[in-house]
Amino acid sequence: MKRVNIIKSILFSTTVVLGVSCTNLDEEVLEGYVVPETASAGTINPVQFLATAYEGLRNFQGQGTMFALNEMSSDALVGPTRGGDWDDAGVWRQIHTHTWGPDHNEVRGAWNQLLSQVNNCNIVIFSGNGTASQKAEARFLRAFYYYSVIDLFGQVPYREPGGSSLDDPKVWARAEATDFVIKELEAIMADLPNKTAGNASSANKDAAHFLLAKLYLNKGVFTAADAAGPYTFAAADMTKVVDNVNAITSSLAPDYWDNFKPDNNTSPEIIFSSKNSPGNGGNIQCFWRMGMHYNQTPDGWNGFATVAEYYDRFNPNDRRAKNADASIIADFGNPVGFQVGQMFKPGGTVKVLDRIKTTANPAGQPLVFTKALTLITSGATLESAGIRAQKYIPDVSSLGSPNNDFVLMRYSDALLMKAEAILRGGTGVNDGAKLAQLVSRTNVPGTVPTTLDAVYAERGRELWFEEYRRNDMIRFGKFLQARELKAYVSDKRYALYPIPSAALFNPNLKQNPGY
Amino acid sequence: MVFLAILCTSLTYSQDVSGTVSDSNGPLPGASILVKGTKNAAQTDFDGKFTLKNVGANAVLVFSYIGLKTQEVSAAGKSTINVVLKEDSAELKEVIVIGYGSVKKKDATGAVDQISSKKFDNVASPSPAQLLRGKVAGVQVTQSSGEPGGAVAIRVRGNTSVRSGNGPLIVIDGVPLDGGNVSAGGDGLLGGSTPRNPLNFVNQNDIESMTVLKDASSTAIYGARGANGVIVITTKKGKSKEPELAYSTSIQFSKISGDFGVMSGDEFAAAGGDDQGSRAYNWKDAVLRSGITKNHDLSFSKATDNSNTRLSLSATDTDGIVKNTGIGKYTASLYNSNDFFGGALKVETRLVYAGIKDETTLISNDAGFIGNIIGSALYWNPTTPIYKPDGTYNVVSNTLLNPVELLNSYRDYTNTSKLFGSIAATYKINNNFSYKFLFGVESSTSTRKSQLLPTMNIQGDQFQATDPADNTVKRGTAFISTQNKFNRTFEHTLNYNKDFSENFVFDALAGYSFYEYNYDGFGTSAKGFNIDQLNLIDNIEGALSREYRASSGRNKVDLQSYFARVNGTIFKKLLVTATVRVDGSSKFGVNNKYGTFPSFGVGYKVMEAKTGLVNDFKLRGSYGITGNQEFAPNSAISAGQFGLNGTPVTVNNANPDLKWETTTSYGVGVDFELLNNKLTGSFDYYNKNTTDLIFPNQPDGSQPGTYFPRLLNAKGNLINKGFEVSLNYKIMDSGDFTWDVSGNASFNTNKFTNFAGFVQTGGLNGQGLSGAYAQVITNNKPLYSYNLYEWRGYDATGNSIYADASGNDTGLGTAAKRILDKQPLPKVNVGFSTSFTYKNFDASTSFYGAFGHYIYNNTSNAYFFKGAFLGGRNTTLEAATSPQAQGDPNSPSTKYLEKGDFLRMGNLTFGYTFKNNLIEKLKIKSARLFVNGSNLFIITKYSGTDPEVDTDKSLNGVPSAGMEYLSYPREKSFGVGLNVTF
Repeated sequence: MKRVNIIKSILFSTTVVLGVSCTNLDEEVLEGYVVPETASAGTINPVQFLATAYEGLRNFQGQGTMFALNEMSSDALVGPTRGGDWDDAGVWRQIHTHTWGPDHNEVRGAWNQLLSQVNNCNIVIFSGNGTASQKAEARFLRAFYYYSVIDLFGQVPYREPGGSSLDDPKVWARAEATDFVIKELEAIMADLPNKTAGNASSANKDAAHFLLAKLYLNKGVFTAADAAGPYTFAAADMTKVVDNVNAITSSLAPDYWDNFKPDNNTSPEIIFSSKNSPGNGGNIQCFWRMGMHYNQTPDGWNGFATVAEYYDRFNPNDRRAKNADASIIADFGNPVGFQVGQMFKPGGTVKVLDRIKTTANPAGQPLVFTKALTLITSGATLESAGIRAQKYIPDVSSLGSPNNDFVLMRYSDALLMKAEAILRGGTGVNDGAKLAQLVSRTNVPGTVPTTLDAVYAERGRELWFEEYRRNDMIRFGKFLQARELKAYVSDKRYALYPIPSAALFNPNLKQNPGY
Repeated sequence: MVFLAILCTSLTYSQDVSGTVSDSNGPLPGASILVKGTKNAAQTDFDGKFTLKNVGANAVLVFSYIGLKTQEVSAAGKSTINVVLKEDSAELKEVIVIGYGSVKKKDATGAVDQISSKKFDNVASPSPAQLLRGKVAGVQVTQSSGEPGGAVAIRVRGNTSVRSGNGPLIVIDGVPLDGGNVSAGGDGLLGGSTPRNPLNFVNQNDIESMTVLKDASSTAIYGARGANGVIVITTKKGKSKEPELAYSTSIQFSKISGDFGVMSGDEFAAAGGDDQGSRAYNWKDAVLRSGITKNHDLSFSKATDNSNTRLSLSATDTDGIVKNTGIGKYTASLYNSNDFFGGALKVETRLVYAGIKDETTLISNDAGFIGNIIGSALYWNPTTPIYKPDGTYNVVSNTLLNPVELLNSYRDYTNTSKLFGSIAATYKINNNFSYKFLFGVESSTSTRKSQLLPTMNIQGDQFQATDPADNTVKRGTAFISTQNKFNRTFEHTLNYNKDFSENFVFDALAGYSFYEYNYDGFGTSAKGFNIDQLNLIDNIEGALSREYRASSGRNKVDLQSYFARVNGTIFKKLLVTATVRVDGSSKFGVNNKYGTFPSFGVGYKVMEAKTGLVNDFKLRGSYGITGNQEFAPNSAISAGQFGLNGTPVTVNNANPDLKWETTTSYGVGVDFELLNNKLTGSFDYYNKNTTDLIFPNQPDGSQPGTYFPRLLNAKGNLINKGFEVSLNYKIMDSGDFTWDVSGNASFNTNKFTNFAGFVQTGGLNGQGLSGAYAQVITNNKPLYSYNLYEWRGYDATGNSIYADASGNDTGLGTAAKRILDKQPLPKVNVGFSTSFTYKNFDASTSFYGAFGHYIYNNTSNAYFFKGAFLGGRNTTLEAATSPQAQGDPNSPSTKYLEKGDFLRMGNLTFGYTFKNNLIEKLKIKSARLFVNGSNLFIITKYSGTDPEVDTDKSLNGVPSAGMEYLSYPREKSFGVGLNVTF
């Protein structure tokens, strides 16, 4: 009996020691933190998410999502299929030919990238922490992301303080959202800092004025009954454009390429940019790799090209289209800007060959980029069809993760917006000298634009690949029209992108008309 | 009359007879010997020896032992009789290990199947999972590729989940394994690596039996982890009272069993390819070799009345058929049990240590057009020499890689150590009650190191970096990652057992368990090495200082459960089982911390007879609710992490309602034994309805929100239903000659209903296939239904003709995708095997097959098209000579969709058991020599290397099925082996 008691006590104590440590099933996060759902919960200061919201601007630096939706849907850029290469289930062709649908992955990508950054801004804005200036920065960034959603998708889902992330977000119509963002920007202006020299990557008063000018200029589009037009531009809105541009303190850089060189943070012309530093930045290398051939320096992906009719609007020697400085030829062999014709190795004398081997050219044919281009290329020009472009000067010291900041707002754009607003009935006086500088730094003869058509043409040349082309084409009524590689007038539903199918789980969202 | 005759003869003449009784493991102590028709009997001693006095001249001796087949031998004219007793294989008499106990097969109310070590194929497989292949109805075992130690997917009665976590729960000697991956893996250099098999650490020679619990009546005792079925593995114990030493060894030689069908140099040139003059290249010689597997296994065991010990050591070394791949596995295992206090307390200790060294090469599941080892070997122009005349590699470009240079520039190995131990103490409180405490520990550490030499130039940022000192490009990449796991199991069970009367036998079980799973990991990478550095991974500090990256992580899961079961047998005929389990997990959302999983099973024995046409006939029925909770920790809460440079990033969307997936199932079945116990078998019908499916709901609908999906229990019913049959027939069973045949077939269909989503999976890779996918999960369709362009041929210009939305011929620009009535999960799985013994010879073979499904050939899609051939890459002859135009894109279409039906010979073995004086003089109890072949042939129309393939092509966390992409080729092998017992 005693023995049994000993056994029992041993068993009992093992049970107690080993077995009963275990009634609490609360979950812990051991490799990070709990994200604040409300202002009080969470283990990190919500203001930390301001840095995350800034980093989110890097999404504009890729070759897909916002860049593709804004440029490839326009007359500036096309993603041809090159044999087996670059078909990618037709996603690029669909963008250029206006045949995308609600399950398009780049459309989905843009929706989620923009709105998840709105969420990061909300974490800062809804929290009780942070200075007035930090809150203003977060509200500025949110306004910038909202602007893109208004421009691309029309409707804007939003959340208000105090809700749960499980609630279905409410939705603003396009005009309501435009109104909200304008009021936001005007409300935070006083709390935003002035732009400081050498740093255009923080929210600043110039950037807020620029964004207000953009919103007022497009208000006729954003409030139109039909997104495809017609649009009415109110004189009062145009005057607001003028006033906001006048409030900007930035100035033009002496050289167009100061804005796109590796240390472009020094350019006084950049109003707002996404910050990159070597080893820590976005995918800005796309802006030299996406078009360049595999055998060029730096080596590229031989993908996207520019449509000839767009390239032909430049004087071939326009410095904006062709920067053939000696150092550039020494480093890369070819000009930065648009590339057409024979390509060379660094130094500019040895020809680059493509990868198509023929009996005449067993090592490959000379790589000659042609203006001629079809949506699906083939034959001898499979790899060489299409004009290529490099918007930024490659950072030779860090090609994969370069130093070039990514330009989101530039003063030359503001000057052209002001000129356009005055032509559309706004009250104000053009900055003649500044506009003249904008024209003269192209190194080719030109005149200051004095008609809407001239403004439109100059915007196409000045702001190529800067993610405003679709917006411009819509405002000028050109977007749906037939053009070189889209031989038909698009259905008017393509003036807006569709709401991604998966987003319709939110019952407050309704699919855009026509999809 | 016979009795009288024997009696008379015994009166007239009698003698002494002696001898030895043994079973397949050696001498058998305690066996009974009876002179038939008399009370003259004896028992064997510890050495299995017996002596019977006064045995009549024509007497017949009856040898018997529990669990072995009774044998009668005539004693006429013999003074020495040695007998080997055979296993009594009548299936319904088997005792089956089930969750928290065991049951006689004839008393089981659930659908359970057990295969014992005797039925394992003699395959030198690194993973025990393959032992189940083709052996159990309703269980599909698919090796994802031919890679040694690669992942094996086990599916019990179909797929019940739409995300990962379709594998059954595996319980080893009472300790449930955590479902995750043991080896350090993660994304390597040219894409993701294939996961390793979590059962690799088990030595298959240590396994006594594997039981598959298939229906809710048997799995609901495992509650929230039971929905995918449960595999209960029982390891061996000592059997013989005499110390026994067993040694077995085998060697297997293997080579590739299929082919990708790319052209030879001559064919390539003849087809008009870019002829570079050489004919020396052959892709198989470049990257493949003859594989070899060596096995050694040594075990010692001894059992006494109150203790039992078994110790085993094993070493397996496999060189895979792809160069630089293989697995080395070393295991040691110990089992010890001791009884104390006159048998009231039994303490069992188990300890397994496994050391595994995996070596692999660049075989990733998502390589792009630059390819991996297999891809580059296939696309390399076969007329281009690998080496230049000066002996250096012939480098063509940094996007068209020299496969031999790539092979020799890459190293990748993983060292994994695992310790698995448990202590179980069972205390018999009185005749009715017993209490058991189980404590188990599973601890593993795994380190993977991989590198690509700085001399190898591959396009891509991950392979190069700029040295800021002089703006030169430096190459060379190294990765090191480590992962640690530490899991603990605590379990208390109380058993009650009472025979109230002959007509009411009752037993019950109640228990509590607690499991804790801890994980932590660390990884580092660097690039930009000195061009002369050869060993990067062991000298990683040689990289460019700004090119180091590191990451680390940790998580923990607690599970707590209460469970109970009652079994009743009423009037010896009616069997009733009811179970319930309450499971709680820290992973579940705060609003759903505990789930309850009940089940009910009933059986009715229509017939029980020892002889005759119908020997046993039992009807079974079951109903129950089980769960599946295989999802990542921290899925229910908003978790964030600090990203590079300290920026906070939200990585998960909260869902306080997140809970297990619920499977409600019912089934009916019959077990039978017919024709004088010669034919045994069972039929089963089942229906499983899974709801609350956990789905990575895409973030689009909750924007503004996080960028990452939120795990949701989606609305919808995933219905799996099917029919299973298994049969075993003893054709011959005389003393010298036995022959039996067994076969099984299972028919399963699945369909997702009431589901609102349209979820893409089966992501494709390769040139021009970024963002393309082949499969969808959507309403009223089977899982992973193909969604493709319908390809109809080529037009006069060589451009592909596809169907448009209204079914008319069109070009690619206006082609429309369609959801096809084709899907990758087999509708029918079959397996059959037969074994045969004649005197000292034995032979066995097994076959398995799968039917009714389609495979998407991503390899062909990405690599074999006209443009690739005209661009100087090798392809199949068919692609090279097709009328396709050079610029016609290889868009994903039905052109690459093929029927996956196959029937394979899994194994063929011939053995010879030595029985002669020499063996006895050497004190050898038994010795058997065998030869065997694996995968000797396959019948299929599939054009790729092998139709039994499942490359992981998951998209956004949703798995795929039936995809093939540059997978490690499968092998056929031939081997010899020897088993000796001392």
